Amino acid sequence: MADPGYIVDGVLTDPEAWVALASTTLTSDTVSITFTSPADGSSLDWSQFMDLVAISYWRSAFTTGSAYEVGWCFLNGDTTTTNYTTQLIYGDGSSVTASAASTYDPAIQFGTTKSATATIFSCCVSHWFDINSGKFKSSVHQGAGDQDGTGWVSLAANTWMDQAAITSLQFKMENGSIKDESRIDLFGVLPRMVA
Amino acid sequence: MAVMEAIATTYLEATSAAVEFTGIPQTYEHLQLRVSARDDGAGSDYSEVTLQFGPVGDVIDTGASYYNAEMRGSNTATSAEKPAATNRVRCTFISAPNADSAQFGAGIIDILDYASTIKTKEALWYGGTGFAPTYPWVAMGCGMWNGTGAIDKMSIAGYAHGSLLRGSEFTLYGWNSS
Repeated sequence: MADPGYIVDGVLTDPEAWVALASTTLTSDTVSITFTSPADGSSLDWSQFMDLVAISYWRSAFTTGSAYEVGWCFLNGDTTTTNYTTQLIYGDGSSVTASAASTYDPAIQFGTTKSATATIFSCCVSHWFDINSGKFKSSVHQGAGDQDGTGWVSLAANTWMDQAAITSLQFKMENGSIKDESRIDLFGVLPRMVA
Repeated sequence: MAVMEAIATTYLEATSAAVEFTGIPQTYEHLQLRVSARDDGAGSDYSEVTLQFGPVGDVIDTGASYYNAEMRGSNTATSAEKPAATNRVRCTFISAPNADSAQFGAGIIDILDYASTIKTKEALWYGGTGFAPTYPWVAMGCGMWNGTGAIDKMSIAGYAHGSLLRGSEFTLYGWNSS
């Protein structure tokens, strides 16, 4: 495999530990947003990163039912929800609730904006750890979805019960599509192996 | 100038009582420790990664100089805790032996203004372990080291200084400003 561009003659030329990998902003309502490792040995190849970080500023296009939506993320195209478990804790301004596993299997955010004023979007900062290891893949997610009168703040820990390296992330809503103008930015986080 | 630089990664190839980062450069504004770990804490699905700090020119402080507060969720239960002063920062998010062997809890610990010589040091953390037979777990909290020395070393251990298991990984990052 050829050296990535930031290694010249074996020397790391760019010390930045966070590498911007990809960014998607929707121009129409879309069922899901997927990022995939190029797997080409380039500086964007996910196989070299310790962690991944995604910053989502998004909203559901689904308008019926309750005021909140649940944001999901599938790994490596595995859409079998029972392969994921999640522990959530979330607050709505008056109470705090914890919810586990069976209800919100691939959940990363509780309270993703859905039926609020059209300009209101919610945000979620997500971290996947040790993505190239033989471990189950653990991740944690901070979510914010205030909706001017209602709203939720959430913290989630999610595990994909599979030991494969992460090569793709598919973001979607539990119900319906992701709203036009939603955006997700993806970063890779490099380690530093020193003697 | 890079905004976030990796200072060092430790990836345990064997069980270890502790991981230490020493000679931490004083050139950053803040530190971030990213963790994927499990320990040998007996009889539990979740556990703690714990931190102790040492100032420039002195040893790691192992006294009752640390204060913690946290809130957490497990299944349908919420809880909070603010224990008395203790000898470590306690970050409750890693996996323990009762969890599946491939399960490693994960979290992030930000240590702010670590090079100040006039302020006590606050660590802000969050993380969790999404799968365990009975206790999935998510938590966030803080830990204060009641010392004003600039941190240039830290020791990381498991619950009550239990051992960290093979495969546990810790990477320390330095955060720059303008």
